[in-house]
Amino acid sequence: MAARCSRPAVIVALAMMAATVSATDQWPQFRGPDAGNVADDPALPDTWSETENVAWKTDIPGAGWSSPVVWDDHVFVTATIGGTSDPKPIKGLYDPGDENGRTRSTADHRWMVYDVDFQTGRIRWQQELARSIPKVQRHIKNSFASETPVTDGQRVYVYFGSLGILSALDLSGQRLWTQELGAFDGRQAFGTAASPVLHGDRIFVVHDNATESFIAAYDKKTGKEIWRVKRDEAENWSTPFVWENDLRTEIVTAGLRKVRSYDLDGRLLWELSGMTVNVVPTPFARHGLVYINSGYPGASPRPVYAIRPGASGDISLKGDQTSNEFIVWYQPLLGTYNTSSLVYGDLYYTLLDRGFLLCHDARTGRQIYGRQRIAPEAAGFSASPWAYNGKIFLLSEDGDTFVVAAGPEYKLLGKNTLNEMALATPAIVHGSVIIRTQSKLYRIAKQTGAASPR
Amino acid sequence: MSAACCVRAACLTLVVAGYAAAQPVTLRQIGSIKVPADTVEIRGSHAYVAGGRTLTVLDLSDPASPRKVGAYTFPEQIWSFRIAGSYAYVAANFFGLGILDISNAASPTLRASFKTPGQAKGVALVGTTAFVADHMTGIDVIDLTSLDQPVERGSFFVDGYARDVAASSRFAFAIDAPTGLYALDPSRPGPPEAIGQLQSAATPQAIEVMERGGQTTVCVIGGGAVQLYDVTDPTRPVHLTSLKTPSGRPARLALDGMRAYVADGREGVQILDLTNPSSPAIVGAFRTTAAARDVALGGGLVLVAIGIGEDNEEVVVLR
Repeated sequence: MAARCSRPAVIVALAMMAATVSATDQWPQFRGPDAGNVADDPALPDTWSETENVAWKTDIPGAGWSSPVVWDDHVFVTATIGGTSDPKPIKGLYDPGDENGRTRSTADHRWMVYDVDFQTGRIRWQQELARSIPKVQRHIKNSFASETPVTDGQRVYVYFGSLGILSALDLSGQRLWTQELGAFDGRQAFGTAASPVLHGDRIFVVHDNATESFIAAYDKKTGKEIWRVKRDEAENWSTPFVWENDLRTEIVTAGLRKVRSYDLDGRLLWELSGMTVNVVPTPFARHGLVYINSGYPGASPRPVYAIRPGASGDISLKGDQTSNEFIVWYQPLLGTYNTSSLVYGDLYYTLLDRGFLLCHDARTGRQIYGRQRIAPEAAGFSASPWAYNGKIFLLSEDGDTFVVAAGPEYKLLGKNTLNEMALATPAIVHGSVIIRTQSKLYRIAKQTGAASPR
Repeated sequence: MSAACCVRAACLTLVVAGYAAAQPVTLRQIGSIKVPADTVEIRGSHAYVAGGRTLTVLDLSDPASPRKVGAYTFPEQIWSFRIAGSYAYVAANFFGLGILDISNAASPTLRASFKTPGQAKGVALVGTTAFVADHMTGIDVIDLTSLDQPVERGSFFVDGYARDVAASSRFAFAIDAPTGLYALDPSRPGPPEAIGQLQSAATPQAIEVMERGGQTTVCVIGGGAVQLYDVTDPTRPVHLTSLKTPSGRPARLALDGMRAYVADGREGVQILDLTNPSSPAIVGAFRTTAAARDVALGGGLVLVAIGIGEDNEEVVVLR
């Protein structure tokens, strides 16, 4: 959207940007620093297309559903190159048939990390971390590079569960260390996707699989394993969440058999039963609560839990309970399959994978509005929603971003089309939206005043 | 399996104690044909067999020697189909609903199609209204008054995965996993809505409807059992009972008004007496040489699709 701005408006806009810059100064991890919440910034675009408000678009060689992360003028993405004759992903939720969609590649793959220049879109460097035949199978809709990297501005930390390696690279692309974690198929051999997370000097990785599920902590400077704790799980795709709450800092992990929270040394703090199979959404916190959900459509219940800090032991709901001392609210049929939910303001937004949006009170779980068809043509969604400037953004697998008004009434404001399959959750930083489609990386920014890294 | 063994298996009859009124049913194999076979139907002297992407027409004039007479291959997998009049209504995955003119058995031709948003998994017809179970959207309702121009009347979204749909003379009944049974009325104006529903089915995967003496009964396959529901009042479905099958992995079934013939995986075909739908009883069985996946009734014959993998699949003819 091209807009003419008056000088006072520009001054106000710049002042607002300065006031809110910290929240979106960097985008170091999956869903950014605040679970899809972006500080209001009038520089951020509301509309775009393949040509409108495109600062640049760059072909990214290979395949990968990992999300971009951004630090200053570095945009990091991962991919694998190879297996061009392997089955191609199909949009939507579907029943893939007798093999349930799992596929084994016998082709050589190259596991790649790219650093893309935020200003120009030029690939600044690329680093091949490994070259081999994938050690695990994957679902045809998954990729071998689905884990989003994480960065602290000094290094970028890349985890490829499909290969079982965790590596650190400096910002010039030099590999600093690699740690072999082991590559294992999950129960259904659908591949991996849980991203690493960073806290202090430690990187935390959860790898739930059919052989030896674990959560482990690694020294970010050396890659040395600090601790590893076994987990009684057989597969999950949910990224762990480091929850800094008023009482302590803990690592919340979602899983089929249990939601578990660990302290920073791997000791179990509390656990919770009652999730569906195929746990994908990532926990996140807002208003002093951590939100956890899972929603495989073929299961019931498909729960959402809002949990307050301080729990210990088993906090599972008993019988017909819908809350207890630590579970502030529970919704039995609100869980999502692939998308993570969003709390923006006081409202909890649920993006169902098949094209519906729901809204609940984030503090109480009370329904604000029920299932709203986003648009007649809106079908599959895997990317998680994000929000800024009073708007919710919903990126579909078709590459369409539906823009919805935040607030207690559902109102569709527009649709921005990129005409290519998209599963990765965008990064929003420096007044730009970085969107990854199946083959490309876009920097979407208002063409009248795209911001620079600050 | 040897021929002698086949004969023994064919004569296997199972009567459940405590249900004296049910008459035992005995089946014997009289023929077979190697053909990719996931689902099967019989109309008149022809059988229609879907395997992979292809619907094959078999001539059953000599049921001991079924003969391929025609075929049509879709671009996508066929999940299920129904025959009505001179058309086959095919739920063909991402292709959507395909309507084949089968009036010339030797040369089925695509008469019409309608692309549903996701995977078309099942189809049923009430008059000229088609109900398509679609993995993404739920139940798509399509007006087929003009086959030249099918018109979508809307979709009824189901929370779970829409699995299958079947029709009585007036209503459509749909299922979704994990628990849903829905009744839809095509005469109801406006966007499609369920006029009745029940969330108690156990992982339903296939559904058929039986009308008899003013009573309408739905049979749902799922959860290792045949689940029976009284839907005489479609606004208030009532679960009657569920009967675990011997294999615990039934796949599909066919109804003849009094009995259900259940494709029961490695246990072959199980025959249930439904004289009293609240108290079904197994009154016969036929053990197939490979897992039974679907069964069809017609002309005094029972056809069973067996085997897994195109090279291993066949249709056996029982009487």
